[in-house]
Amino acid sequence: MRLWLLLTLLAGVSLSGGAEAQTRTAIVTSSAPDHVALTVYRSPYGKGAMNLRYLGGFALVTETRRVRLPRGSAVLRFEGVAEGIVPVSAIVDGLPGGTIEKNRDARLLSPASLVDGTLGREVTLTRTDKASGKLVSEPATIVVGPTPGVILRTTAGIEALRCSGLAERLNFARVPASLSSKPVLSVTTTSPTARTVTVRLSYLSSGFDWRASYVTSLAADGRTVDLFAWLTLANGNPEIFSNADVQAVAGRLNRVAVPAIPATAGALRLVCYPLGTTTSDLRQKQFELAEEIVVTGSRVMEFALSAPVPAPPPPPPPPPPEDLGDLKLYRVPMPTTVAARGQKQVALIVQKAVPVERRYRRAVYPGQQLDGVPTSIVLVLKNDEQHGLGVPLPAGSTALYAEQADGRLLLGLGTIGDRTIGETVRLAAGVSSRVTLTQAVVVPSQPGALASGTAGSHEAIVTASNGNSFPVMLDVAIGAAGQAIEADGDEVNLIDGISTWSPLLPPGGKAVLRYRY
Amino acid sequence: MRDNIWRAYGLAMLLGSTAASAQQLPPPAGSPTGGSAQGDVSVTIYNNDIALVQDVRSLALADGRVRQSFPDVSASIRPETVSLTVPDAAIVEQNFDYDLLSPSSLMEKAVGETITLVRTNPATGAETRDRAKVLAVNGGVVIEVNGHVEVLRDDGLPVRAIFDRVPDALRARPTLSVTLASTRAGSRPATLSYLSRGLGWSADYVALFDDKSGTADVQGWVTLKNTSGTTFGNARTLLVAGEVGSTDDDGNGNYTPRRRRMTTTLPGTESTARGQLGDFYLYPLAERTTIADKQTKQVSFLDAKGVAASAGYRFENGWLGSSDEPRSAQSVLRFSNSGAAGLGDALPAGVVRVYVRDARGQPQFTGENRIEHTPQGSTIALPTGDAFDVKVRPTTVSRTRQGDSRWRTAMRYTLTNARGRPVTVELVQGGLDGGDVRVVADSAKGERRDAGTMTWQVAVPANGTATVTVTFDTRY
Repeated sequence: MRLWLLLTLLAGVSLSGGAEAQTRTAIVTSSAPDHVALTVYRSPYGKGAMNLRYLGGFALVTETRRVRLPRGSAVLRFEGVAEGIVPVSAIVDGLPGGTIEKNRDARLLSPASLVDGTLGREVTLTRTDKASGKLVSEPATIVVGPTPGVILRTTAGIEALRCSGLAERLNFARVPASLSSKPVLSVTTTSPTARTVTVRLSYLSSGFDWRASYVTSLAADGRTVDLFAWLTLANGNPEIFSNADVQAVAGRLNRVAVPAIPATAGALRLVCYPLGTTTSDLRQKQFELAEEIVVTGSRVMEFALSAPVPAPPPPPPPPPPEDLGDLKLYRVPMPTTVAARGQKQVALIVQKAVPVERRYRRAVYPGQQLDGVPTSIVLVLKNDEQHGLGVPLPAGSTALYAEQADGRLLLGLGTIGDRTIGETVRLAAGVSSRVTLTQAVVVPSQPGALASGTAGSHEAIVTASNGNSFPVMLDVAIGAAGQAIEADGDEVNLIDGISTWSPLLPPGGKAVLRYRY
Repeated sequence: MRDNIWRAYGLAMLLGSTAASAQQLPPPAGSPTGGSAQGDVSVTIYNNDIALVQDVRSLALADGRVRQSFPDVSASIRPETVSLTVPDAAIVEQNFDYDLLSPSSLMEKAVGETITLVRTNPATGAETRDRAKVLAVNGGVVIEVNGHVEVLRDDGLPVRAIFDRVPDALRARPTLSVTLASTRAGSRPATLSYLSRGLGWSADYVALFDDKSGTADVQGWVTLKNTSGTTFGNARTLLVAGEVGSTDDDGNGNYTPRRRRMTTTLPGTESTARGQLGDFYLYPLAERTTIADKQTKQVSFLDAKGVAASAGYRFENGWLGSSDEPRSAQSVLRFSNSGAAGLGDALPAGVVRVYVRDARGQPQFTGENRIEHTPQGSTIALPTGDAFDVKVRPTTVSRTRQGDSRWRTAMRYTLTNARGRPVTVELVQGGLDGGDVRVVADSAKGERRDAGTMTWQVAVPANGTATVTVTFDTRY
């Protein structure tokens, strides 16, 4: 990494005819970090593709910078920090004299603030003769500005800028102090001796996010899947993080919205006195009326769309996640460059031959009228070592493919939540219209046994049929967790708190359940 | 009407002296290095968008009735709160003038006056000068030149309109002006004090938690924000923790939406060495500082090492709450700001950011939450997020009717821990205040902290599961 170190010694008095003499304070500018570590946290409810303009996650950026401090009091300015920095979260370590105060200044240099900061001071007014190109300059003082309009005191008197129809421009002697091109983070410190120190600056920044994308392929025998997960990182900031140590944290964190002072760069509007003429109503060539200088910014969306699918051969398996308090930290094994306004993918999890159980599933409400509705196919994985897995799985989207002789076939798309070790994972594997479900409300077999409206006073019949040439396991979840469902015998079991009927359907077979609710 | 007055005024000015040309320029405002008209400034900032600004300026006053303007007061000043103390002078009236100087208002105020026109020949660049009297400014400027009436720039050719002076009443920025009845001439200090919006402060804390040693290093920063539009140079700054104006009735009542993860605090009773003002704590900044416009400034006020802290879990279930999949318990950081625990200071309201070192020793962020003004000696339980490995699945096993308004409800809570070490979860069943609710059977003894909640401390073994079953008897 290159390091630019700018040491500018400015005496506070020399800045202007300041009222009170200030003690000499050196301004030290650190323009770029030497090394960056980036820990990306995901947006809590993020789903689907990421939009680089509205990334709901954030990152902890930890920068190492070498700075040369002079003896005595100094203001250390940090440039090149991420645009989305949360200024109040900045922590500066490694200053021998500690941090006296941290400042974040959002007064930006713009045409309007240039006029504002020069109000009452002398500028040079230059007029260009449009015929000959001759330049005539004279000193002027800004009396009013930037809104509404600019009024100058010249040697001739009081004039409004650009109301005469002449080509007029202002020249400023210098940029007013405290104006900068970007919001600036700075700290004040006092060093006992002049020395070069290593400073660690860490801060939270918005404009980051990551997603886990699971790509699973079902083996030809249908008994195992190869599980592979991409970690897709996105950076919506205009800063590039070169050769950064990158980590991703899974889990949900509590965040508090901190209002920040928006960086405002006002437009300079030059407004003149009314300039209507005796022929204003006629169609005519417009003379130079008030001109408007508007500062606009445009975001350049420039990121190479790396070809997503089909994916290249997966990289070597990454290290397993480590515990970070109650969260999971996934480390990208080698330093990597996170481009400005770009996204990148690295391998998150690689697990081969994880045994799966194929089940059919449908949730029904008691009494819901259903006529041969299709059922969902899910592949059930047990996330522990006996079952070939045992890795914390962060929430993400899943894509299931079948490996066949003539290529891959997409079977299903779905999502999973945060699944820790020991939990059950269900992979969506499409919808089956060959295993169907029919439900109807029937006349109670013991009419009048219970008052209408109480639990157990209604009765329904569910019929499941299998059109496949192989037996299937079906799960019919009835109602909500905790709802009382009664059936004869032990046909209905509680699975995850919900009364669930789990018949094994033979090829071409049927099963019937009668239950009260 | 106003034009007439100004025409008369202008004529009077023409007939009168030329003293008006010695008009002061408005001083530059908003630039911290520029010659601000501010004097010795003290700023006292409260939490709820109120700041008290005291500004001692030296005024050179004449004897008799004088009008004094005060430029460079806060752009977010509340003018009704201004008070001025000047020795040997009484205040006749205070004005806050918004009549701003602009090209249009300059021309309007010049009606009836004479201005200079400089016409430029577009072909040769030759300049000719005329004196012109402004007759009217209505949509366009009508002027009288050498006995002829014409419209300014009627032919579109370049004409510079040069004014002799800036009218007294027009100002570059909204300006406070006070008319004083002075009993003697001479220079003396005047104390201007007013309330301003746009200045606020809060606290920000950094807690670096170490689970192994059960300690946290806590740093506290006061964060000051200036959006008032004005820079206060070299100001003595005092921050007050507390909110003034307790009888603000905005018609919203006391409704505050319940946050999902709220910090719970057991208030302390220890007194602190902090300076106090009534019930407010004072945080003076050690040195004078310049509070620039649009600046966020942070100054350290607390640095405590090795504060006793512990990590825990909490899960609260609503009445009849059932879940078809395990839900994460909250991760909670517990610490105390008592003197014995190593912190020993009152904590002004703000955001606590919690960091934990990763396997390589680098601090990583693990969540944040807000605390309110917390007196010393309090115990704070700060939820930082949801635990990945510790989950709870509440299930309403059965609801059986026992009578007209009596139910028996069996609950089962399955707690799972995928971590490699045992944890204790504070399991809370809420919503028990809907009627007469009693526990008729339970697998573990809970604590009824209040009518609405029942709390169990459940130990869950490493990589294991624990189950709590409870049966409630409810009479409405």
